[in-house]
Amino acid sequence: MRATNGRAAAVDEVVLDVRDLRVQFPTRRGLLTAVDGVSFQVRRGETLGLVGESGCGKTVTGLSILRLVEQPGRISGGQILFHGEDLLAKSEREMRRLRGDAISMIFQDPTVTLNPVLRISEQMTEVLRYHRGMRRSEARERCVELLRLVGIPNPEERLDHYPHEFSGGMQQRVIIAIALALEPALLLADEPTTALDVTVQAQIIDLLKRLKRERAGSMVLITHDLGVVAQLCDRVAVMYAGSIVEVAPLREILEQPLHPYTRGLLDCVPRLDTGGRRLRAIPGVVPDLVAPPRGCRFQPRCEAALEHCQARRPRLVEVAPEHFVACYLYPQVLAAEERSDGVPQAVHP
Amino acid sequence: MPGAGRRACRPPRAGWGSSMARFIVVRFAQSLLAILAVVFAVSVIIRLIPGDPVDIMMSGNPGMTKADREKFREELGLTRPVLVQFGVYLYDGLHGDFGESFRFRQPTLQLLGERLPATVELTLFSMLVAALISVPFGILTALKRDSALDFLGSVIALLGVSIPSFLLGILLVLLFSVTLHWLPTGGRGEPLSTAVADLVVKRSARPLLDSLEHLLLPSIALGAAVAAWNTRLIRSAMLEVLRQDYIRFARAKGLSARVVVLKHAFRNALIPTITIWGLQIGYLLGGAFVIENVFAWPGIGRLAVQSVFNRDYPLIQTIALFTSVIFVLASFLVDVLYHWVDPRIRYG
Amino acid sequence: MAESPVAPASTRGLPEFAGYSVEAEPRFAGVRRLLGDLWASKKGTVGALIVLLLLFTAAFAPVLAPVDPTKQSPRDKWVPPALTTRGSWAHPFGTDNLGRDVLSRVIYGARVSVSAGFLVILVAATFGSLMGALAGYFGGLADTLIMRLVDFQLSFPFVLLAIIFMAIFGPGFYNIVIALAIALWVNYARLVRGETLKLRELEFVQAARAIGVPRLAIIRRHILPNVLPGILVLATLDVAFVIIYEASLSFLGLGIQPPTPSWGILINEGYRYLAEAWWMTVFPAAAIILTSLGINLLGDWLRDTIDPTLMRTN
Repeated sequence: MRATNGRAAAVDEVVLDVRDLRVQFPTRRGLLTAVDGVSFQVRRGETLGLVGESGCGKTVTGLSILRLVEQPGRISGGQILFHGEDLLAKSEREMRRLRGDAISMIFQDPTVTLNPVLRISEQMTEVLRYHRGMRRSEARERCVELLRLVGIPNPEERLDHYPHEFSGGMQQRVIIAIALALEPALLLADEPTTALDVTVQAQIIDLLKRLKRERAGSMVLITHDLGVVAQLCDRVAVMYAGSIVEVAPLREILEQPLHPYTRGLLDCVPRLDTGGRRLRAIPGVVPDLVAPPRGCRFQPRCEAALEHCQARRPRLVEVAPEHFVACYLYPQVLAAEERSDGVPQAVHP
Repeated sequence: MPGAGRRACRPPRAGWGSSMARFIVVRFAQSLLAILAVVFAVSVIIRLIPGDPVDIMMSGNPGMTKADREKFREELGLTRPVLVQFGVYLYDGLHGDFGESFRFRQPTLQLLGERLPATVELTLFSMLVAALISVPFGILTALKRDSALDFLGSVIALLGVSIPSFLLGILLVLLFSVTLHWLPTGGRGEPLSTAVADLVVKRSARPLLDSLEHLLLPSIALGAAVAAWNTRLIRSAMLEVLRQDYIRFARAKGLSARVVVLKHAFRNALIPTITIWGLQIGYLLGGAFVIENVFAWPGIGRLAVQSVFNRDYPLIQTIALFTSVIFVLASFLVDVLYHWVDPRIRYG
Repeated sequence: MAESPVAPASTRGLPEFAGYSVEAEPRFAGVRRLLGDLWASKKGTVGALIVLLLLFTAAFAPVLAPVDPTKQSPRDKWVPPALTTRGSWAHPFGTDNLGRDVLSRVIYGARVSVSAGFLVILVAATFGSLMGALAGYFGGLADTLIMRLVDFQLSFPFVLLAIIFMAIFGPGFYNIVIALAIALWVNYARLVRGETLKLRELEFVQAARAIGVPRLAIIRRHILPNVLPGILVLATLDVAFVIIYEASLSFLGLGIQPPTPSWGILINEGYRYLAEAWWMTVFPAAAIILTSLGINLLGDWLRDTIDPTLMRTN
């Protein structure tokens, strides 16, 4: 049951609540802020798309949820509430219990996600044995079922094979099976189809659609591919240069994008029905995250930029039911800022 | 709907992989060829040495006339062409007769039988010591990269490759034997194999202690450089592996650090490590020759040096033969092991 | 209003070694930069200083040594080194069983080590690189033959090879040089062959072929400069190897013969009297260890600087 009014969904409906997340990496040139004040929610049963181009911080956001950001990167601020509990306050041990069990993650390139020297049976049963204490035989049976579920033919035999004996698409299915083995409440999928051939992509998307229907869990789909988003997501959050610029239900993002960047993204997608039109691109380049521009990060490339845009960074404000945007083109955003000036407001997009 | 990739339709694979069996056979044949080539080369080269064995042997014996020496030479088969001598040697060898030492007037096989096991024992034990040190330290320094331990590790590694093994041996003797009197200055104790058997069967630890007492210093001296090298090697292999996506996925499954490092990471790091181990056996074998002189270890090292100076052809040939056999066998085993450890090659 | 794009990645590198110059630079700018890097690196600096000390000692041995190293003095047998009881500064490192001054012998030993090192590397690197280049560039029969030879030689424990070699040609300085050069050329051959194979397929080489540049010239002008850094690193590390192996062989009695003082011989002589006169062994040992330490440090730094991916585990 999804909230349809403008307010934030009821607390027990929210599975994941990311608040003002900040992640930084020390580099030779200085401190790079990959994720700068990102906030969003994921509700029960929904698929949230986290969209943006390479380098915008979406993968880092995903990794932060499971606290898998590697040294020297650090989560330097914010909260990540999972079923109300702050993951950033948990011990490593507690996080380990959650990973693979309550929250799972799958990655981009299936050919390097599976350990090449271990059999599939080993890599699959270990989650079951580790988290549920299952015996090998029991775990094995369950894994055969899981492989069947994701569409691997001949599962009993293939369970004993090595990863390189599967094609890329098959490997991704296996990985999805592993991730869903313990029926997690939240699945994080980082570009699950990007590394695959187009036809195989379609198959994986179909698989994910089917699993979505059959499962009760939520998913965060991290991708730059709007086509994939259109097929799988309920709501979409658009990221640019480390922060979220727009959040809205899928329909509205596609039909009525509010943020200039979102509009630009959609414009870039080549279309078959408006033949002969020149391909558009967004001029300029992404900002340097070590020394980002003052004010709105998109402003240097924005055709509709106002003077105020250089001065301050707009915050995410709900300007239509369930539709949040961070852009001074919309008076509500400026108004919200003036109202609360100095006092940071909690946002629940 | 299921993926119809090419590999999904691959035919059922033949057990352990017939490619593996084929590989073993081919490799074995190559090894045999290599051994033959080595022995041939050695026997040819050794005959280039200026100085005649008979002359050298008889140098302290003025009573022998030139005719006598000629006759002796003929007896020893030295007058026949080199190829023939080589052929005879091989033929006899297949029957277990590897010739008789000019100097010691004993079958070379017997001489070798007395001394080769000691060298092999030293070499293998050094390898073991090196592995016991390098594996845990290699893994630890990879995990605690840039820590004090890592720095210490690199300092020790640097020292390890800068100190020649015989020098290390000498310094160890100076410290532990001459000054502290904790360990013997040289010689060999009980053969390790019998000592272990004694422990198991007769429950007696004394032979084993004696064995280890004598083995300790020489194998540390010999294995130190290898241990130092391998620690860095395993470290960089681990670092390389730990960067991989499959490690990230293993962590994302919530597995403990121990499982991730040992089961997932180290298994992969082992692959390049094993090949290097194979190469090092040759190095250790050669190093043993020198170390045996420092510790008066009764192996073939001393025998080899002596036999060269004595122009003792059959002995040198046999030594060369068995040394290469050991070395080639070791490389062969390592190669097979490498193929077995990496399933991509086994079932490729 | 557009922001300037992120600055392009630094184009640091050593133009001389890249075969091309990215931009026109003052002469030896690359060398100056290299020296700057060296000074900045602790391990590089220490290594370089030790190596310089070694070279200096070798070059000025006659001036530095207080006494003639071969001068025997039975009266002064086994004088302990300075700073111990009964020692004196007349013989800072003590004397050996024939009354010879150990310090002078160690200083002269540096000469032997340095000259052996240089010569061996010169021969091995030149011959090896040439073979490697030929094998890599021409391929086919040349490649097969050369690589078979390399493999064959690698399957032979070096020490055995050296022993046999020394027995054929007798002990002595030049024979050690040749024996060691024979042992080492294979590494250069493999290195150069690998690089050549890679470079051969690159476009600028194919372009040169297309306009008719003779093959040897291609090897000389295009391939060798790119291979040079790798060779340099290998050579530096090999010098330590040579010093160690010369010492080992001399210790066995197969190397340089007395009375020329090489560090290996000193240890050979000293080992017999380890209990009575530890200084006969310890000082030459320290010299060997310090020298190879310095060379390894320098070589490590060199490898890190020129190409961190080069032979990391070799």
